[in-house]
Amino acid sequence: MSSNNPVLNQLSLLTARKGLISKEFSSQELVQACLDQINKHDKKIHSFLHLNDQAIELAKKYDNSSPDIFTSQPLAGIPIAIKDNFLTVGMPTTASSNVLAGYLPHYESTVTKKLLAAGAIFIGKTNMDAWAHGSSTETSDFGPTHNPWNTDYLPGGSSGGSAAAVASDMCIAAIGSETAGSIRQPAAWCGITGFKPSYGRVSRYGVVAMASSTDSPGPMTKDAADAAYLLSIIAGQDKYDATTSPKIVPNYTEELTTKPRKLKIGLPKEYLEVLNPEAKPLVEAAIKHLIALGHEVEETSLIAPKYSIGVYTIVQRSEVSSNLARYDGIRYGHSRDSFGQEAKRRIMLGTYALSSGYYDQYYTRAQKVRTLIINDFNNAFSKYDLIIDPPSPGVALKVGATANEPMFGEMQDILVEPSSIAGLSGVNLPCGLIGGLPFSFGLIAPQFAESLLLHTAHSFQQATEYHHARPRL
Amino acid sequence: MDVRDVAKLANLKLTDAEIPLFQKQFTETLDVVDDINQLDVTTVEPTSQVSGLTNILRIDEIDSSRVIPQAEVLRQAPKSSQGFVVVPYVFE
Repeated sequence: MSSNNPVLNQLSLLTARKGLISKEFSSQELVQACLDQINKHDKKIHSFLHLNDQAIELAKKYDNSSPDIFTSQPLAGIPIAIKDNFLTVGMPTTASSNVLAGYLPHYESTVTKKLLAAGAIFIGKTNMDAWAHGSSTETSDFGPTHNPWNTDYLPGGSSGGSAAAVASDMCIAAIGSETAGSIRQPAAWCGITGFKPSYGRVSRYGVVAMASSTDSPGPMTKDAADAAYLLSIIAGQDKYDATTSPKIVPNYTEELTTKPRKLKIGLPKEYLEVLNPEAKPLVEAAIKHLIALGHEVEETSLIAPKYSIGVYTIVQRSEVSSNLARYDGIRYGHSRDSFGQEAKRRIMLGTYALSSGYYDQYYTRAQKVRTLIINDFNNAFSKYDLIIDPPSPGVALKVGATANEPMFGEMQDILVEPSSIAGLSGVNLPCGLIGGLPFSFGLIAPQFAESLLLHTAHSFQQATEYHHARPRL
Repeated sequence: MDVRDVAKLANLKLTDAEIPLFQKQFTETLDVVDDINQLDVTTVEPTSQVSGLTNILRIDEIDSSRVIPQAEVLRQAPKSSQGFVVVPYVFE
């Protein structure tokens, strides 16, 4: 433990766990600290849609259990926030949409089931862009979440509620999901560590589907070591999700301690060209740290990310139109009139792209360009271990920025769409502030190279202090 | 491309204000995605999924842990009667 009387809700997951095991504090104190923080600040931030009224009771249960419960269960007593597109029995699940207002699931998502089995306490469900259709959390049907660094600004999205909750220490860690950027970008805008696992690494069972061929649930945490720890718990093949990989899940935490090797890291000039000018010096500084760690960073060339916008928009909106067709309002839920404008836009574009006479021109062609992008990455990864990929061209934008922007999300996510449509893993790494708002660079790795990515992220964070910065609330 | 036709296909009702708005926004979006026509795709096949897996099958057996009891199924329906979910009238 680093200091006497630590502010408990500010602890990282691994530090909190150590404290619980050594009985420096109780789970009840830890959970209460988070709840106090929520009571103090969530009115202006609006991270949470629902708070778990059982949280303290569960904490008490752990505190009164056998003394080794904190050792034997990997997440015993740890308060975690869950994005509201994960089905949770006993707590409403709305995906921030009026169509699902009041929905109480009767089954648990695989991810939350695993977390519960590990002893996690869910502190509540977090706000998101409705149906995950966005990169701002401004399209939530229940009001936007505000960036804890400056509440006039957006937290990013679609996992904005989870990002803001971690950044403002309202929880010890959170779970989000990424279709293209929805973990990494809000994590970047809020100054925390968001890890997007490879497609198929973590089960999508019980996650309200957005784009079924790219959706990737993942951890949003205070640092990469926490992300590694959580990923080991939630990853793995799931018989209820046929797209999950049979590959064994490594002990990512253990692998963080392996001897680092010198990596060759590619820096795509096409990605640099997309960055806002004020962000470039921060990326250059981050690269200097990577070089100081012994890695080689070399400029390279990839297919211009602008082509991924077209591919992703068509593929994602097509899959969205199919996935949201089930919400017909005939037996359950509210009618399709309850869909917000963004959802309607996306459903219609997708319907059009899949319709007779247009299918080949749009959907099939987009899937072919997707192959070009995948091949381009395969080629790049034959030369490089990792590739630098800042998830956002700049820092957070102001509340209201998405108004009258029918493609806000897809345009904002230009830098993360290539890796998402290729199913790769990626992470954002805070590397400084611009105008008082956090900026992150990022790294992407080949499919199922999470261990290498986490190791590199962790060693970057051990050598730097950026990720420790927290907003003054 | 008429936004009203697409809305019908998508089973969505658009308000009077939404029709011209979406028509304009639709055109804007199609202009952006038109980019995909700039690259040469003659030598590639479409990718529909990136898992690399094919034909994941299971034995056709009931998994009793996933059977939802009738009471649970009916609990969420706004209207139910005698064990049935009551739905809006769908015939003309």
